[in-house]
Amino acid sequence: MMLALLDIAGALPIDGGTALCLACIFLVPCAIAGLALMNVGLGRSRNASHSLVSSLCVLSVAIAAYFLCGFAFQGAPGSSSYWFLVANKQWSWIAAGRFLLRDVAFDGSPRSLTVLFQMFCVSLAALIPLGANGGRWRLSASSLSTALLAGWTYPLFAHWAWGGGWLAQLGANFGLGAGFIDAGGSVVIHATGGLTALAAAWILGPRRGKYATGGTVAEMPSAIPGHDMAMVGLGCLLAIVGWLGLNSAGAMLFTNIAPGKVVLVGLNTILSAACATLAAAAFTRLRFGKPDASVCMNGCVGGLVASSAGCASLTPLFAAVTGAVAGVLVTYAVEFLEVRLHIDDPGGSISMHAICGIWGGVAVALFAPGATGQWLAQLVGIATVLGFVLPTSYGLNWGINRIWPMRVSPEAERQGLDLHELGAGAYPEFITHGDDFLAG
Amino acid sequence: MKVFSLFLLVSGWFLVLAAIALLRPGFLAIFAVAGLAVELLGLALFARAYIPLQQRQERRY
Repeated sequence: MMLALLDIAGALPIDGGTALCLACIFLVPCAIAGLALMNVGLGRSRNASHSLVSSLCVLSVAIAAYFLCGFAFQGAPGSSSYWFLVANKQWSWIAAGRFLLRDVAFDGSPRSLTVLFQMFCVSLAALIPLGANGGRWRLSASSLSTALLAGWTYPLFAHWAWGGGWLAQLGANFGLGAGFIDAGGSVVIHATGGLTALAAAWILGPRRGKYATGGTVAEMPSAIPGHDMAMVGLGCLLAIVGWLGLNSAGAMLFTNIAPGKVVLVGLNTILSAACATLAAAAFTRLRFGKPDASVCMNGCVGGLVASSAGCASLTPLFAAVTGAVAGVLVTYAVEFLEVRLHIDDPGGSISMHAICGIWGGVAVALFAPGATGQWLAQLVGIATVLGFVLPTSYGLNWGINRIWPMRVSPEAERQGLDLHELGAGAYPEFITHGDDFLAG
Repeated sequence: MKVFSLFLLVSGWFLVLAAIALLRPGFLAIFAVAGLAVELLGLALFARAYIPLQQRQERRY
């Protein structure tokens, strides 16, 4: 009997570690759904359908572009790549894979798991700019922008950090700790998506009426509150579930932790989110007299984002500190971007993803126990995301805007993108914005 | 202003890359921090370049 059981176990196509990794990867779509719901809820009701359809289209375009060429450029550790020699060291800058995943064997190997995981990661990164630019970004233009993000910018940076590229080799080649560490993608996924969101937000400009009252420039921006906080809350809770999978799968695939250490990853993730939520609630309570619902939820996601980089290397205490700082950072960043920099970010995406993502990378430098020079490796990674991703994303979106204007017309914005681009509203039985809608 | 700011962002990154490739550990840290500082300067200038532009756009409406 025992022998028969052993035979069955031996005949299983995948081992326990692979099964756990697969289960974690299949949780990641919850994070995608969570972010999509948050983007919808924090936007206006007149753009709700458009926001969800945009999320689906962007997701599809990201997956298609990544399938077509993204993974060929990104690769996985150990795969062939193009490199050049500097100071007698190899700098691998782009993978030399085949298009359409023709060189991947779908057998449960780490390489095949990486492909599956990256499909979700690139979708997550592609959703981030939608949150910052909702209510004014044309569907076709956002899809085009996503194709370039998922087909070029993201894979290149992901190759450097995750695909055995020069950032990952900083430790082996130059003695900088263990190389750039970003287990769950604080910098690779979130800072990349967040900086792309920032570039698009600069090009698109703010929503009409955000900074103007009565034809003059207002000192304080007008508040345009989200239309469904329940949806935002549901999205936030779904994101927590998704992040547990994201961080665990990322840590298993890119930092090679033992399956047993996933316990620490899960604990760090949830601790960081909890501390970030509490910090955001306490801070808004102190500043405004009452906790702000949307900022608390943004803070929670900011904590999740910050937890990703060091989820496998920080102690629970430092994961909690990382989350608490992320919660405070989101609170300040939302206000700073909106009031001081005149960046209209209805979903808080730039604060949650770009700023907290970079903070996650910094937190590893500050708190992770490890070899000397780790802080320099983290600094180089952050310098790279700022010096490569932001200019590249800005340039690509600027180019798209010159060829195919990204912003809808003022009339479309007033009418709502649901009616203008899709022909039907999300809530046809309710007059949810009667004053604007009926006012001619 | 925007082109100059983007140039600063990219230059700061190249400064960091050059430091890794060419310098000893002590100098490497100094130059890497300096490179990041140049990038942050570029980012600040880029953000600043957009504020008056947006205000001008709002005035047109």
